[in-house]
Amino acid sequence: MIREMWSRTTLSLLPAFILVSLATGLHAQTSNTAAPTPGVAQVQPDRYPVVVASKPFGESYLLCEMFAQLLEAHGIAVTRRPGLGATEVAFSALKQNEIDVYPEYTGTGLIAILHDSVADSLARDPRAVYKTVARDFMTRYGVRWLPPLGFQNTYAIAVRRATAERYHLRTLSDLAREGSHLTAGFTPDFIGRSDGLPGLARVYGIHLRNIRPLAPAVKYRALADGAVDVADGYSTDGLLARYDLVTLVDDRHFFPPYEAAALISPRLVRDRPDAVAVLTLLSGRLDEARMRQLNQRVEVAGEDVHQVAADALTTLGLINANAPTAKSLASDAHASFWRYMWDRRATIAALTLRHLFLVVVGLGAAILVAIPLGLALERARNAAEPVIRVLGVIQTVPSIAMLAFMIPLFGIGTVPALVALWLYALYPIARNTYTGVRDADPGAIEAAEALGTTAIQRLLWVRLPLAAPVIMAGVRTAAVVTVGAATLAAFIGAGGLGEPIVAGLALADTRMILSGALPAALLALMVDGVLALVERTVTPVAG
Amino acid sequence: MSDSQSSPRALATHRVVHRYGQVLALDGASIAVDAARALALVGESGSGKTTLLRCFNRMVDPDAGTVEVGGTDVRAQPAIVLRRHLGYVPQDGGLLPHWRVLRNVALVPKLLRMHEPETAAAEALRMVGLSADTFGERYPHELSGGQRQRVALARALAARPGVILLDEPFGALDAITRAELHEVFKDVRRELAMTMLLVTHDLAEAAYLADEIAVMRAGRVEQQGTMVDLHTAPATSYVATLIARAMATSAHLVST
Repeated sequence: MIREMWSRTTLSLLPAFILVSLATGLHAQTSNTAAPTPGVAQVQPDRYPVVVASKPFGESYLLCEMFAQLLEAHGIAVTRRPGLGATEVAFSALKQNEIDVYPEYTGTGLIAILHDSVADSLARDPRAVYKTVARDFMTRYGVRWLPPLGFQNTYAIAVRRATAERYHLRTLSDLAREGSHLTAGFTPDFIGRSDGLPGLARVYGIHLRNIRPLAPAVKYRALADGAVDVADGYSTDGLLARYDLVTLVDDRHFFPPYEAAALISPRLVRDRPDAVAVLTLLSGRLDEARMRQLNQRVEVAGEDVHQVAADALTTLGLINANAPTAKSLASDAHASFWRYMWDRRATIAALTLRHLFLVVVGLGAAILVAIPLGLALERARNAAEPVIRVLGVIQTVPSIAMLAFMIPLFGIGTVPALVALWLYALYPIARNTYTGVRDADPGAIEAAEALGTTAIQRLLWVRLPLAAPVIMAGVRTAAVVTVGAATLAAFIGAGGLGEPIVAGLALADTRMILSGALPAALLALMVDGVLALVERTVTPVAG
Repeated sequence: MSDSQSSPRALATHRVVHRYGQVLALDGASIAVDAARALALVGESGSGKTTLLRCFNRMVDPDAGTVEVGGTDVRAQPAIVLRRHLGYVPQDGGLLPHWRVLRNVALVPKLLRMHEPETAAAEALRMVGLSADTFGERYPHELSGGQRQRVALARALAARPGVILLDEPFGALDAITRAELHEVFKDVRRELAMTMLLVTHDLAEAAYLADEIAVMRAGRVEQQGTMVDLHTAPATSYVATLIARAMATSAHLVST
C-alpha cells in the first residue's frame, strides 16, 4: 500500500523533477561562468553584516541567536532582527534579501510557502520533504535550505494531564472520539493552514465543541488555567513541560515532518560562501532532546537567550567558552520587576526613543496629508464619503497583514513600518478634519460669505479655526492608536518598544513584556498630554 | 425697463423667478427701493422674502428676471466685490465666534483695505450704542443676544455701504430687547443715509421701521406701498386681511 502510493507520487513528480534538474543545472552553469572572473566579483559584494532573523517564538529566537553568535565567533559581522511577524513576513524578507538567514521548518516550507498538498507518502519521509523544499526553493526563489539541524519540531496537540486522564486521551483518534466535550484554543495560523486544523479535522474527523483563536503567547496559559481544554503547540516547546501538558500521538501520521534548518537568502548564497559555510557547522548537531532542554531553559527557567545560545554552542565545541558573549545581560530570574527594569534602563530608553521616532514621523506625515485631504474633501463633498471610506477600510486591515503587504513594496525595517503607521493614522485625522470643517458654525460661515470673504479666507479664518478642536481630537486619537500600532513594528524589524513585547510573548516572560508595554502605555499618555496642550493653544475661544 | 427714471433705483428686482429643486421660491417677484429709503419685505414663512433679499448679494442667483443695485445688474461685477459694498445682518447675527467684537466689526473695512479698519469699527460700534473700549475685546459668547445683534448691525455699517440688507435681524430677540433695537435702528437711519431692505414677519415692526412695505405671498409681491397705501387701497384680499388682523391686534393692545 505504502509502496504503491510512493511510486504513484514519484511518477507524478517525475516531469517536474526533470525540469527542475535542468533548471538547477542551468543555474550551476551560470554561476560557474561567473566564478572565474577575477577578484572584483568576489570582493565587490563587500562584507555587509549578515542579517540574522527569527520568527516570534522561543525556539526561533534561540536558533537565531545561535546563528548570530556562531557567525560572530568566526569574525563575521551580524545584524540581529529577531521576532519577525510570522512565516510570510520572515520569508518575504528573506527572498528579497532584507534578511539573510532564519530558522525554518521543512513542513512549513512545503505547505505554507510552496502550498503543496501533503502527499501521504511524503508525510512519513523527512528526507523526501527536505529534498522537495530544497529543490523548489532554489529554483523558485534562489533561496537555499542548509542541511537540517538534526531535530524535528512538529505540531503537537496538547491537553492538560487531568483532561487526558478523565477522557482517556492518548492519541488524536481518542480526541476525535471525545471532541464534542472539549473546547480548543488554537493559534490563528493553525486554524487557517491546510496542514493545521482543516486537514486534521478531515483526516481524523475531529469536531470540537468550540474553537477559540488564541495568540501563541497566551494559549498555553489559557490551557493550563482551564479556559480551553485543547491547544496546538510545537513538539519541542519548553512550555509543554512547564505546564505539565500531555501531547497526543499523531496515530494516523497526519502532520508532515518539520525538520528545522537554516534558510539562506539569495544574496548570501551568491556572495558570502564564508558565512554559509559557518552556518552549515550547525547542521545535524542539534537533536530533539537537546533542543527541548535548551527551549526549557529559555521558556521555563527564564534564562537569557544569549546565555543559553552561548552555552549550547560551547557544549557543541563550536565556540570558545571564554568568548565574551557581549549581549548577555545576565538576568536573575528572581530579581524584582523594578530591579529588572532598572538594569535595562539604557535599552528601554533607547527603545522608547526609537518608538517615539516611529510615532512622530508616522503621525507627522499623516497630519501633513490628512488635514489638507480633509479640507479638500470639504470642497468636493461628493468625493468625501467614498474617499474617507477607503481610508476606513485601510484602518480595518489587521496590522500584521498590513505589515506583510508592505514587505514586497518596501522590504522590512523602518520604511514599511512608517508607511503602515502613516496609513493607520490617516483615517481619524481626515475624517475629523472633514467633519469638523463641514459642520463648523454654519451661521458664521454664511455671514462671512455674504460679507464678501473669499472661499480661501473663509477656510483659513473661519472653518479651520472653528474645526481645530475636532481636528485635534482626530490627531489625538491617531496618536494613541499609532503608539499602540508601533509596537507591532517589531514584527518587521523596525524596533521600538514592540521588541521586548514580541520577545517576551514568545518566551513567556512577563517582565520582558512589561518592560515594553509599560513604557508604551506611558508614552501614549505623554503623547496625548502634549497634544492636549497643543489643542488648548489652537482652540479659538476658551468658552 | 420701459419707463425712464431720472435717477436709478437703489435696489430693484424685475419678475424674478427662482426654484430650489422642485420648490418654486420666487414666482416673478418685483420690488423697487429708492436711495436712502427703507423697504420692509413682509410675509409668512416660505413666502420667498428671504430668497428675494439674498438675490441682491448673490447668495441666490435667480433662474430668471433681473436684479439691480444702483441701476446696475448684480452680475456685472464679481460677487465678492458686490458683497463688500452691501451690508448684511442675518437673524442669528452670524458673528465669527472665535473673533473678538472689534475684529468682527472690522471685517469688511479690512476686506476693502480701508486705512484704519479698527477706527471705522469703533465708530460703527458707537453708532449702535456700544463702546469699543468696553465691548471691543469681548468674544461674541460674552455678549447678550441684543448686544450681539447690535454688533452684527455695526459690522454691516462699518464700511459705510450704501445699502444694508437685514434678514429678520430682530426675530430671535425678546420683546423688550427688540424694542431697544428698533430705536438703535432708527438712530442709525437718522445718522446715515442708507438704503435699507428689511425682511420681517411682523407687520407692526415693518410699519414702524420702514418707509414702505412689500407684502409677499407664494413667491410674488402682492403689493408694495406705504402702510397708508396698503390700508386704504389694498391690492388683493390677502393684503386686506393681513392689514385688518394687524389693526385688530394693535387696537386690542391700545384698549387694554
